Amino acid sequence: MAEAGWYLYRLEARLNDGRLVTVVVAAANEEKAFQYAESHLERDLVFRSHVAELSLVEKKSLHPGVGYAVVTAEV
Amino acid sequence: MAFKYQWKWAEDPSKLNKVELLKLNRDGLDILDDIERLAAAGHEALTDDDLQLLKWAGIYAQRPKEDGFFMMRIRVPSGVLNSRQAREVARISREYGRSLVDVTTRQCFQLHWVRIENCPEIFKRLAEVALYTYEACGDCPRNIVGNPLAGIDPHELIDTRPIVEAVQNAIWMNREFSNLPRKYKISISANIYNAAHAEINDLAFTPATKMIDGEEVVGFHVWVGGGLSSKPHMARQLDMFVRPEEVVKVAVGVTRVFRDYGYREKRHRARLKFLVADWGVEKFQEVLEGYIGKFPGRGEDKIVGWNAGYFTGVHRQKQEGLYYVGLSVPVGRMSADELEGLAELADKYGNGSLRTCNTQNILITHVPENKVEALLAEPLLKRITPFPKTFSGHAVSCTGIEFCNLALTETKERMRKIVAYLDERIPLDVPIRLHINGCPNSCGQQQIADIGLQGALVKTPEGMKEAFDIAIGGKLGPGATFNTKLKGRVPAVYVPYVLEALIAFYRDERQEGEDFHAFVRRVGVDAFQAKLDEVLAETVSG
Repeated sequence: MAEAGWYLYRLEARLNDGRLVTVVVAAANEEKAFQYAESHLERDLVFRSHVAELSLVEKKSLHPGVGYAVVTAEV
Repeated sequence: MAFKYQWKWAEDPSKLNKVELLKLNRDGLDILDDIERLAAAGHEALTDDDLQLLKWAGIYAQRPKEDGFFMMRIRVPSGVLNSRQAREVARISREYGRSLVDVTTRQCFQLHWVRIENCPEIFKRLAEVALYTYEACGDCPRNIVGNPLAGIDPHELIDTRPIVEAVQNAIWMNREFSNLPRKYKISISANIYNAAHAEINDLAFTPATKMIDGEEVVGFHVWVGGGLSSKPHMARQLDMFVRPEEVVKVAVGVTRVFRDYGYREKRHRARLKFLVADWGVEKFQEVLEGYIGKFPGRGEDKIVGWNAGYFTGVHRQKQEGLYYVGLSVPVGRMSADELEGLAELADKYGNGSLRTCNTQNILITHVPENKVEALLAEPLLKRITPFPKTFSGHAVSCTGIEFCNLALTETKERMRKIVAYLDERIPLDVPIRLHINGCPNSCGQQQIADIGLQGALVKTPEGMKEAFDIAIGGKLGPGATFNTKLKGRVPAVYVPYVLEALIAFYRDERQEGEDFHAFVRRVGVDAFQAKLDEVLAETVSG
């Protein structure tokens, strides 16, 4: 089911150690997207204090199949 | 629904994305038959499918979607326009679009604040002056970009207006081509300075000559698979020389290849550029020749440089005694009064002809020499000026968060302030082209800019703040390359100072006659990265 008015957001978290983490969340607006992304970061990965910068870089309308392909490392 | 079952891709719908399934049941052009009904029912009654297919009618839900306003895009093939048409666009904008008119990077007009209820009346009035919004959006052939100087250009091999018209007649509003895998962008120009940005189009024709039977024939080379968006590709040239009278045949053939072989499973891989990248140009040409037969091999390229689509100032036409006046429309936005005023000036000083440019600017043509001075003295030309300051005159901006649902940042007003600051602080004798985009998509064509700005949002203790990635060194024409992103997202408030420092670096270190792109190539991106790091350390942290 598509969620009317919802978006799939792509965020980038630059960590204090220089690593870049991509976070993808569905949310109704940018404010919520940041909140969800922070929750995911804290739950899955790092303490908030380890994040040097959190940026929202892209949004797409939410519907089945929408997504992002993200480069994680050179093969 | 005439073609519903004839398409090969309809045989296995399991491989089709949702939009493809919708298009099989209801061709995009079918929506034109429903406009009166949809207008009568009003915005609240529009379904998601209606909204999707209304793109074929040239309208797109504007931000926020639930408010019921639309952006309306009006096609202007090759940018060729007359004063009657310009006046009608201005009047429609005043009556239905809060007096706002944007010129786009594909030479179209865009209006905002349009309601579905008013569309039948608007479409009728546009048709009376031979202007159309149909297929200005959607998975179909978009407005054909061309040389805005076609027919008056001292630097064109031939007048491309009849060719653009013939291609438009062959593929536009044609149900054979109204269900393509994705948007489809064509560029046709015989200007030797690549005025129509060939490399970033799905299909492009550029000026060429070839000796055939001892005679030098003027014609075109063919490029396929270009496009920007979030994954930019440069178009690649086929080994093919095309006579002017055969351009339609080739354009139709390439469009058929795209229609029949283009990817329809994933929309983000549906543009022609992905097919060309996967196949390579040799295979693409082989398949194309299956549709249109063999053509002579390529001749001599006649593109000698890139004017980046800028024509500001007063210039001679190829017609003796006539001039065109290129006007800078700041970030492509003007009021309905201004557009109507330009139409009046075109009538008063020229022959009523105007041209829109892919740099969001506008031209008045056919001005006799003895009228040029009086035209330049017109009050309207104080803001829409033929002599803009360096940065103001070379700035391109997408629509941004003001109207676009996918934008993350404001763009037009920000760009206006940035260039005003730079013009004040760092006068330069050579142009540096700045483009700004509010997201990774590319309506503002940020990847071809000398300096491109791409918007993002950054979380700060004070809340969300706009910030921009900076990329340097983009160029089309000979040596075409997309710009390279620098590391370090710049808070929006600091962008003018950061740009000032990067441009001062160029101004102080350049060699004689070296433009910005050549300078970036010589000193390297790392030198700019070091400069950016230094400025960010001083400005943002300091």
